[in-house]
Amino acid sequence: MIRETRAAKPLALLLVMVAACLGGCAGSRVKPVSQTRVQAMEHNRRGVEAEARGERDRALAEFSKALKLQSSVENTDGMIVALINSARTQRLKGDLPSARQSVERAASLLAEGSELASELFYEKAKILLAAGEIAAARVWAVRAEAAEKGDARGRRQNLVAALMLRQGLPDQARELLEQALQLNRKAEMAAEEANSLRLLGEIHLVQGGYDRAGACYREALKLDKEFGLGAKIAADLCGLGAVAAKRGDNSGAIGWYRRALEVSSNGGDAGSAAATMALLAQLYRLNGDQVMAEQLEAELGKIAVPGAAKVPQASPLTRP
Amino acid sequence: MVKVEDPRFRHLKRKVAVFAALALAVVAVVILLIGKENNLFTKKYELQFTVEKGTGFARGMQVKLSGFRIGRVKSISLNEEARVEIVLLIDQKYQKWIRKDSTAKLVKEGLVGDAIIEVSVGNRSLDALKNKERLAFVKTKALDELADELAEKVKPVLGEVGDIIGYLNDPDGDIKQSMKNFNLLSRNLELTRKRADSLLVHAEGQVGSVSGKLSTVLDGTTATVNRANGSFSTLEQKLPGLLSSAESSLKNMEKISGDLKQAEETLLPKVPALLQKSDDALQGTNSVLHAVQGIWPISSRIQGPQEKQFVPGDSHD
Repeated sequence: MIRETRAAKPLALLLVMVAACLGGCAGSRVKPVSQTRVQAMEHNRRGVEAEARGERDRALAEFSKALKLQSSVENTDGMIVALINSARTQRLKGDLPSARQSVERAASLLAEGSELASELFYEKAKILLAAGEIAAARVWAVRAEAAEKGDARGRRQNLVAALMLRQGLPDQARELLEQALQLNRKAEMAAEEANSLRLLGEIHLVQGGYDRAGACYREALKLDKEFGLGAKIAADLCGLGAVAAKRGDNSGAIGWYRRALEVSSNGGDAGSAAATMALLAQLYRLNGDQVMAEQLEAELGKIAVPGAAKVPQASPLTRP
Repeated sequence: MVKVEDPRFRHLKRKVAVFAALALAVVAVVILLIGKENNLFTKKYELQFTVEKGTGFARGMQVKLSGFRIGRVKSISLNEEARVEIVLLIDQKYQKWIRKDSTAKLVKEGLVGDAIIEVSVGNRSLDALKNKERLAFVKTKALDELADELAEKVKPVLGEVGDIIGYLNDPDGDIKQSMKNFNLLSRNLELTRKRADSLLVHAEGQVGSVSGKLSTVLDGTTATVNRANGSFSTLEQKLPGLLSSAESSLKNMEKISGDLKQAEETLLPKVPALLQKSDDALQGTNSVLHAVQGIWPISSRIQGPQEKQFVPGDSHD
């Protein structure tokens, strides 16, 4: 009996190993991709990385190469991806006419029920928002949300809510943002979660819920700090400054705005820094510190920033 | 009846007849000679042309071709349009020279010679003009017309000459002023010469003192030259060593350059083959990597290229 057990052990081990190997071989093989498409994907990847580093011209060149290669093999989905990426980069660069052209070209290639529709509509909404066409942007943002089949629903809802807020619909926006917050938490999209919180903070601020607004901004700040996103950190700090100012705590507000100014200045965001400086000057004047206000205004005069009226946070609600 | 007969009257009738015949023969010969002289017996044909005015033309006027008389003006008449018809009588033998493109013009033989009609030689490829055909007439300018034309051309030149003379005579003009200045200059030259003389006398005195100073400077220069000599002799001693060092350095460089050239000649042909081998090796490595990537369980760990990779579209941007 003992002998049989001893002989069976190596046999069983051998059988397990054979089964494991066969199981591995039985797995579905990766569908081969043509060399041209692989090259196009490589260019697209390089473009995404270049954009992340802030090298927008290089990113556009890479997307252009990717588009050319995808066109040479008539891979429509690849072309749409390259065009959406081009449009996004052009929008972030401030070249809205080119961004519109790219997104319209992508739209002309889009097939019915394509899984790329949501991303394309979302980008179109962002371009329209950048152009100040809020109503049209909202239409496309809603379409993007409806077409979304993956984890990005919370992101789409954030955009719709931000547009509603711009249109003066805070109640509807809050309802949507609460859904978006849950979806983003579920999808573990912390950056979008922070965006939802910041927008909620804005709504609570405008509706007088200063405690809740402060809590939202603090939570958003904590998440944004984890990702090290300077512009968003400055926006959160400005939000907290606005909460303090609304409460009549001008000194506290000055403290928050000082921190926001520090972040914007050191992050190289001169536009936001100038806008924060202007808010600070107003606060100092309200606080009776005329000297400091004038000093800040003098410094502001020295900074020649084209279109320097950009406040770190998109909404003017954060202003004291 | 006595019949007296004078011997001189014998054969009188015969003698008169012979005399008359001889006379007639002489007259005929004279007429023949005159006619021949005047080309009365040569065959002729007519040519005609029309002119605005008959001035200068006359009946019997000579017609010439290349300076030779070939005919004359037969008639001049006024036609129904009050223009003048001129008919030329040309010797037949010259017909071959007068073609369709031949022209006639009224010219003078010399400055004060007779007026003649000159006919030009026509193109041989064209047909000769036949009897009664029309000849083209080329109007030549008359002397008064030529004089008028000349006067018109000379008039502006004369005007300009007048202007130039006026400019030259203008007392406030550049020429007159320059002349005045030149006169003044020549007067001042004498004064300048006198001053130059006195200056030269003064300079003669100065030369002595300057030469004294110059000798002092020269003394100093001698000392400097002596020092330079010393430096040069030092340099002269060191120069051969420096030159030999430089020469050896150059030789070394030449050797290195030769070695490099040799190395380049040896290595360069190998470079393409090396590159090819490297490329092959890389491709081989790539193939091996692909094969390894495809092996389970590695394949499940490796993320394939993503086609749908987007630039992050943050809702806050």
